[in-house]
Amino acid sequence: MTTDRDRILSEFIDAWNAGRRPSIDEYLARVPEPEREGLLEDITSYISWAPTPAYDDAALAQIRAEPAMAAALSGYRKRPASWPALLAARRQALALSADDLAARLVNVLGLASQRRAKTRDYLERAERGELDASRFAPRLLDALAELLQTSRRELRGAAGTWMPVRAAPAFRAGDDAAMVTREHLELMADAAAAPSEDDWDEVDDLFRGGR
Amino acid sequence: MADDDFFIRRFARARDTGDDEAARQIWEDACLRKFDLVKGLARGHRFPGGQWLPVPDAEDAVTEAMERILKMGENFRGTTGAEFRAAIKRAVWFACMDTGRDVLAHEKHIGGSLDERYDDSAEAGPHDAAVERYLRERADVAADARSDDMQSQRAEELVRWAIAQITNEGYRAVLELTYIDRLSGDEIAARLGVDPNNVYKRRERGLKKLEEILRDHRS
Repeated sequence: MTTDRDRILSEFIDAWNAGRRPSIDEYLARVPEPEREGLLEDITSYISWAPTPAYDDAALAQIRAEPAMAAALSGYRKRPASWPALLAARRQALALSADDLAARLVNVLGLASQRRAKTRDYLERAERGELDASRFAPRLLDALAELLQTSRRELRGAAGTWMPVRAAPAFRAGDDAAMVTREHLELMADAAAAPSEDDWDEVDDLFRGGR
Repeated sequence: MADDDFFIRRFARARDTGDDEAARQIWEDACLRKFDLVKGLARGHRFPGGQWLPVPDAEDAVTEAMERILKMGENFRGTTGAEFRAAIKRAVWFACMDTGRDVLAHEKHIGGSLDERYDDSAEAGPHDAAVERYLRERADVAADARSDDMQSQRAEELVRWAIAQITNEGYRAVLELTYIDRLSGDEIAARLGVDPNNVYKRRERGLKKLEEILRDHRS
């Protein structure tokens, strides 16, 4: 026997496919309370696999104006400041010297006090743009966000980059790329496998150890 | 009709040729068309303990998810609409879970941990493994015969493949006309020569079968 729920689900599907942007809650309100959960499951299941509706321009403008979409676009388009600029600006706003910040960082991260100079050195290099901020450890970013009174999101955004250079397509595009670069690759492999002569410690891990 | 594959294929071309601004614009356009899906998935999100994400919090989860999805373009390496959809589902799932942690973590009546994965699996959602397995199988079959035309069919093929597993011919016919041909209930009734009520019933039951097949396939 066909139930109202079947019919309402079917009407939802038709509205969805036609790009009419049906409100799930309006459809749920049309069935008795005990049936809403089941209908919601069916609707969610359908839209999970349904083709993207054919939205017209008016519908797309409507979507763009939805508060949640507008907020997401706004947050996304607010391009993060570069890491050196952000670090310098926040540090100066809080009237902290690089050494002050290093001392606090050592404390917050529970590092040995003798790591302070090395931490300061890393911070200064970061401010000069000499470090790849995408290799900063999440723990370090969290601690800096706290000390610099900024959001983790902003710091993480600044530490990331928009679409890094992609080597693979360029490599594949060259007819004899493998032959030309083989020698270099072998050298790089040897270098990567060679033990470091530096004393790598937890501060290096934090600033250069990656995610 | 511009489907997911259309956008993702163009996005991938722009990305791989280093045209970052074009890639970003195409990605935004593709994401815009997924807003209703994101909203719907957030509205229907269930925590591993079985509770629904409260309606007032769903809006926050949608904003969070959309922002993550927009940012995902920075690192998205896929080339198909199916991969795009799988990534969206994962992003919504995590955004809902994070919203749940923020809002509900202290409420005693939430059973189970919000950190548990759906159905005790390590996956983000019930269908992701099916998508990934399907894509692997497709990649094997199509490795030597890849073309733009074939790629544009992938998302649709995934649904076709799942619908084809349904043994009940009546359900299968209605689902094909719904998902693939995108006919309305009345048009399907006319095409099949059945009462619209019969179409409603077959749609609802067929949908459940489809769900079962996709769930079973991941094991």
